[in-house]
Amino acid sequence: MRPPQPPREAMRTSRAFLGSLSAAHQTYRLYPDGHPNRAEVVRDLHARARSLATASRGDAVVFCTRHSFYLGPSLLSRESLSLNRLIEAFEAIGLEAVEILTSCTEADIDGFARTLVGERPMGESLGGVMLNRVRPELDPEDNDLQGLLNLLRSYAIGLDVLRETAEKVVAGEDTDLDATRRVVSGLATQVARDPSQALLVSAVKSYDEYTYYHMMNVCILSIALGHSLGLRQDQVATLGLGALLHDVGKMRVPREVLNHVGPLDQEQWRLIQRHPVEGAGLILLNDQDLIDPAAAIILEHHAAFDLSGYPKLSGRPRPSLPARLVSVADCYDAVTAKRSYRNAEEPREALAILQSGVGKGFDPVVVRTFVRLLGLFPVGSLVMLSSGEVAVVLRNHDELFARPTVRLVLDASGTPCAPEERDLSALARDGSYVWSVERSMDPTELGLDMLSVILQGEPEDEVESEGGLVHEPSFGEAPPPGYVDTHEHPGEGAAASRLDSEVSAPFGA
Amino acid sequence: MGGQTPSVLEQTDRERLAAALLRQLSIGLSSYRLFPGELEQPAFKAAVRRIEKAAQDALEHGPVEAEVLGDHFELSGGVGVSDEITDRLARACYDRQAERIRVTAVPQPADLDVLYEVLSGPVEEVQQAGGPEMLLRRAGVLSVALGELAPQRVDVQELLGQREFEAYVDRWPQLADAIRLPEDVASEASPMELAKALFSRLRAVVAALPPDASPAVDLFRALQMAVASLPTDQQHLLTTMVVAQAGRDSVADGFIGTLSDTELSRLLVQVAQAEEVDPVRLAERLVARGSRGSSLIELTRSAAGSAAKEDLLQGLSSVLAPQREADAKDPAEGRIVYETVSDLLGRTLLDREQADLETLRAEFPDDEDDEAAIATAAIRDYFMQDDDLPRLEQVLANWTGAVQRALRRADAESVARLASLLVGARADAATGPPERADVFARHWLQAPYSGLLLDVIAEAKSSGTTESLVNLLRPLADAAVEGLLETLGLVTDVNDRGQLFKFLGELGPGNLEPIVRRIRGGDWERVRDAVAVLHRCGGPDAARLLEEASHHQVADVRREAVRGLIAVGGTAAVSRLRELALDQDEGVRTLAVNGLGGLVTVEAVAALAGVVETADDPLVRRTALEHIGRHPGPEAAQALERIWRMRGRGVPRSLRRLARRLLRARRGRR
Repeated sequence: MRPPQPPREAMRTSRAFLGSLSAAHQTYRLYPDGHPNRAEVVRDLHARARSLATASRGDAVVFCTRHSFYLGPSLLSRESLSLNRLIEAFEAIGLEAVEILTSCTEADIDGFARTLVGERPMGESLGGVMLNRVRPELDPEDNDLQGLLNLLRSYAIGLDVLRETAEKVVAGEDTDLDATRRVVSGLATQVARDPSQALLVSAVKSYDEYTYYHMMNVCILSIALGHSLGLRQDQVATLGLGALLHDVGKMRVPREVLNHVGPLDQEQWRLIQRHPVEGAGLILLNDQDLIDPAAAIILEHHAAFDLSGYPKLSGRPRPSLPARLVSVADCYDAVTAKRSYRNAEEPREALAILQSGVGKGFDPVVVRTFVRLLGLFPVGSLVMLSSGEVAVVLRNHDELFARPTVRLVLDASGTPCAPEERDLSALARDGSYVWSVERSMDPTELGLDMLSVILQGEPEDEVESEGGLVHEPSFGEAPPPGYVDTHEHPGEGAAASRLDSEVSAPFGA
Repeated sequence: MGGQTPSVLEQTDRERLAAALLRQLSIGLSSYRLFPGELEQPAFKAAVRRIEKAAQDALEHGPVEAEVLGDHFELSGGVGVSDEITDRLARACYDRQAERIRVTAVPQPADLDVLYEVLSGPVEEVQQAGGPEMLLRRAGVLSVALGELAPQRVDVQELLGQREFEAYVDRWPQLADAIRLPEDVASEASPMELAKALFSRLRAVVAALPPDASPAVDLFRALQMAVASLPTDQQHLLTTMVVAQAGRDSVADGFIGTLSDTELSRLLVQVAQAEEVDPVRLAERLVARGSRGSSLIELTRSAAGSAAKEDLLQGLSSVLAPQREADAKDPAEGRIVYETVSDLLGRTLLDREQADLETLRAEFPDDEDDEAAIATAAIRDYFMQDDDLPRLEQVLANWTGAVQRALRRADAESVARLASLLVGARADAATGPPERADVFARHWLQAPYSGLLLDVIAEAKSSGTTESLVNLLRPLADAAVEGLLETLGLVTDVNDRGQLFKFLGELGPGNLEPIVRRIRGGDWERVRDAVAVLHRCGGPDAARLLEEASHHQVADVRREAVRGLIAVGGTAAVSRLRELALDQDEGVRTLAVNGLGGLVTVEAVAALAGVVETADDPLVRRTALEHIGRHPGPEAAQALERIWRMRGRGVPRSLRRLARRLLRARRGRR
C-alpha cells in the first residue's frame, strides 16, 4: 500500500520553498547579521513557507535523507539534483526534517536560516519551524531506489562540479580536474553496477541549466557505451572525463551569446563554434602533463566522422574513437532535449537522426552499438501499450527489441497509476504476448516531467521555465533560426558513403 | 594428391582450412569497410597478413571454392560453412549476386582492395559496372574470383538443383513440351489467360503422371527444369502463377516446395521486378499462408537490395511516429510490422554485435602510448587553431614545464612527443601575426634553458649516460642548440666545454640559426664559441658563415674562423685563407698559412706562393715556402723554381736560396 501522496499544489510550493531556502542559505553565508539582504530573503522565504503550509492543508514536512529532498513520502527529484549545496548544508548540521507550521513567523524563518549556516544551535526552539521533530520513513530494502538515489547523488555532485568549473572558467581561475575525475569515477562505478538505471537517469533534462545537465548526460551515455564495449575501468574513465567536459568550452562563450533570444549572427555562431578549441585549451591549461586524451575528445567531438565538421583536423582520416563515441552520445542527448526554438525529439527520432548521419557525422559502427545499447525504445522513453496504458521504458530485452521492460505511468484513461513493472516479453498461455508497445510517445505531448516519472515512478506536471542556452545543433539535428552551417558536406545529394549501403539502416531518417 | 580422391581426414582438414580462409576474408572485409581504400590502416594490414597465412595453408590442398547460399557458404564437398563471421561475407557476395567465391592463389593487398571494394559497393552500382566477376577480372585480379549469376543459366541451375531428380531427369524435355503453349495460342491470349493456361497444363502434367510420382520431390525438380526450358515469357508467366497460387494449390506448393529459401527469394525478386510489385510483400504473403518460414522475408529483402530495405524502414518510421495519422487508424497492424522489423533489426544488430564490439575494442586506446598518440594529434591541431594569445601563453608554459620535467627524467620518448606538438604550429605561426609567432618561438627556445641543461648533463655524467644526451635533445632542434650555446657560456672546464662542443657538433647541422644569431651578435666570446661550434657542424652554410666570421674585428674570433675554414672550407676557402695569411694578427697569419700548407691542391700552392711573394712577415713567408717545398705536386716545383729566379722582385735572397735548396732536395728525393 503506497502512503498518501501530498497534493500537487504542495509539491509545486515545496519546490519554490526549497529554491528560496537555497537562496537564503547563500545570502546568510555571504552577508552578516542585520544586513538588508538577509531581511529581504527572509521575507521571500517566509511567504513561500506559508504557501507551502497552506497548500499542504496543514503542516508541511520537508525531509532531507539519502542525499535527497522529500515532501512527505514524495521525492523532490529535481531539487535533489539541483540543490546539492543545500543538501550538504542540511547534512552538515544533521538536519533531516523541517516542519513548517501555519503559525510560522519571519523571526522563525530567520532563526531557521541562521541554524542552517551554523550561527544558531539546532536544539533551540523556533516556534513555527520544527527541526527534526519527526523522522523520515523510507523502505530500507528498496535496492533499486537506493541505487537510483546514489546515482542521483553523483549526478548532483557532478552538476555542482560543473557549476564550480564554470565559475572558475569565467573568473579565469584554474579548474579542478581532479574533482571532475572523481565525479567520473563515481559515475563509472554506478553505471557498471546497473547500466539500465544509469541510462534512465541520463534522460533527465533541464531547460535552464541545459549545458550542465547535457554534459552530465553525455558523460553517463558515453560511460554506458564504453561499458557495453567491455572497456576496462581506466578506459571508461578516460572516455567519461572527455565526455563530461566535452562542452566546457561553452563556458568561455559570452553569456549574452548563449542567452541570446532570436537568430544569432555569423560572428555569434563563430563564437559558439569555437567551443571545442576553447574547451581543449581549458583542459590543457589545467593539465600539467599536457598529453591528455580528454583534450582530444573535447577538441574533436564536432569534427564529424568524415571530418566535415569543426575544427579542421589534420593528419588523420577520422576523429579519434573516443571522440566519435562522445559525438554520438552528444547528438542523442541534444536532440532529445527541449530547446528555445524547438520541442524535444523523441528518443526514437533521435536514433533516426543518428542513423541519417551515419558515414557523415557519425561512425556507423558506433551508431549500431549505440542503438544496440539503447534499444528500439530507449531506456527512459515513454511508450503507449496495446492496453492504452502509458509506461516508461526501464530496460531493454537482449534480443526482442520491441519488448522492453516498462513501468506504468498512466492508466488507459490517462490517470496517474501505481508504478507497476511489466515485462513485455511475457507470454500468455496461448503463446501470444500479454502486452505490446503500441507506439512511442513524447512526454511533452502529455506534459509530464520525466525526472519525476523516472525517479519516483509517478508523473508530475512539467516544470515551466524560461530562457535556456543556445545550443550548437548536432549533426542531423534541426538547427535554430539563423544558424550558420560551417560544415563541409562533400558529395551532398549523392548516395551516402559506401558504408551506408552495408549498414542496415535501423531507422528511416 | 596426384588426382586421387582425398581421404576423409584430408577432406576434413581441407574444409577446416577453407573455412578459416573464408573467415579471414570476412574479417578483412569488415576492416576494409571501416576505412575503405586505406590499405595502410593497421587493422587492414593485420587482416591482410592473416588472410595470406590462411590462404597459404588452405591452398596447400588446392584451390578453395565455396558456393554462396544466401546467408552462408557451402564448400565444394557439400559441407556448409556458417558462423556469424563467414555469414557476413556470404551475405555481401549474395547481395551482389556472386554465387561462388574461388581462391586460387594467395591474394595480394591490391587484389583484396578490389575484392572488398566490389563487396562494399552499392549493389546497383556493382551490377551496372558489369557485376562482381567482371569487375574483378577487369582489375586484373587473378587470385580471387567471384562467380556472377547469369540470369538465364542460373535460373535453370537454381530451379533444378543437382541431385534430386533421377527418376524424372530424362523426362523433362517431354514435360516441357507438354506444358509449353503452341505459339499461335500464346500470341493471341492475354498475359493472364496465358498464365492460367500454363498453370492448367502444369497441373495436367502432374495429374497425368503415375500416382506414386506426384508427391516426389524429384518430379517437381524435373518440372522446374521443364519450366526453365520454356520460352522466357511463358516461363515467367507460369512462375508468377505458381507464386500466386502457393499456399492454395498443391501443385504450386510442390513446385516451390523444393526450392530453398535462397532460391525462392531470388525467384520472388525476379517475379516482382517483372510485375512491378514489392518482392517483400510476395514473401510476406507466402509466409502468411504458411508456405514458408519468416526468414524468407529477410532473405527476399536482402535479395531485392537496398531499395526494398528503405521501403521497409520507412514503414517502420511511419509506424512508430506518434504524430502520423495512420497509426491512429490501425495501431494493431502497425504493431505487427514494427515487431517484425524490430526483430529483424535486433537480429541484424545481434549478428554484427560481436564484430562491432571487437572492431571498437581493437581501436579504442589500450595503453598510455595509444592515449598519447590520440592526444598528441589533437593537441597539435589545438596549437594550430587557438588564437587566444594569453591562454596560448599559459598552455605553452605548461608545455615548457612538461618538456623540462621530461628532460630531467631523461625521458627521450616524452621529449620527442612533446616537441612534435609544436612542429606544425610553429611553422604555421611563423607565417601569421608576429605576436603569435613570438609566443611560440619564445616558449620553444625557453624549454631547454642553460641551468636545466647543466643539471641534466651533470646527472648524465654521474649516471654514465652522456652518450644518450644527444638523442634526448635532438627533437628540440634549434632550442637544444640555443640552450647548449648558453650553457657553453657558463662552463669553463675544458673537458666540459669539449663535451658541449661535441653535442653541439652533432646537433648543430640543420639548426644553425642560434649559431648565426651569435656570430652576428656583439659579445666576442659568444661569437668565438659560436664559430668554434660552427666548424664542428660542417656543411656549405657553415663555410659561408665562417668566412663571414673571419672578418670579425677580434683576433680570437678570426683565429677560430681560420680553424673552421681549414676544417670545412676546402678549396673554396683558399682565397680567404690567403688573405688571412696577411692578417695583422700573427696567430691568424700562422694558422692561415699552415692551413694552406695542409691543402694539396694547385690553388693552395698558388696561394702559398702569393704569400711568399707579398707578405710582410718573414716568418710567414718562410713557413709558406716550406709548405710549398713539402707539397707533392709538380706545380710546387714550378713555384719553387719561379721564386728562386725572382731576382730583384721583392723576394729576399735568403728566401730564394731556401727555394733553391728545397727544389734541389725535391729533385734529390727523386
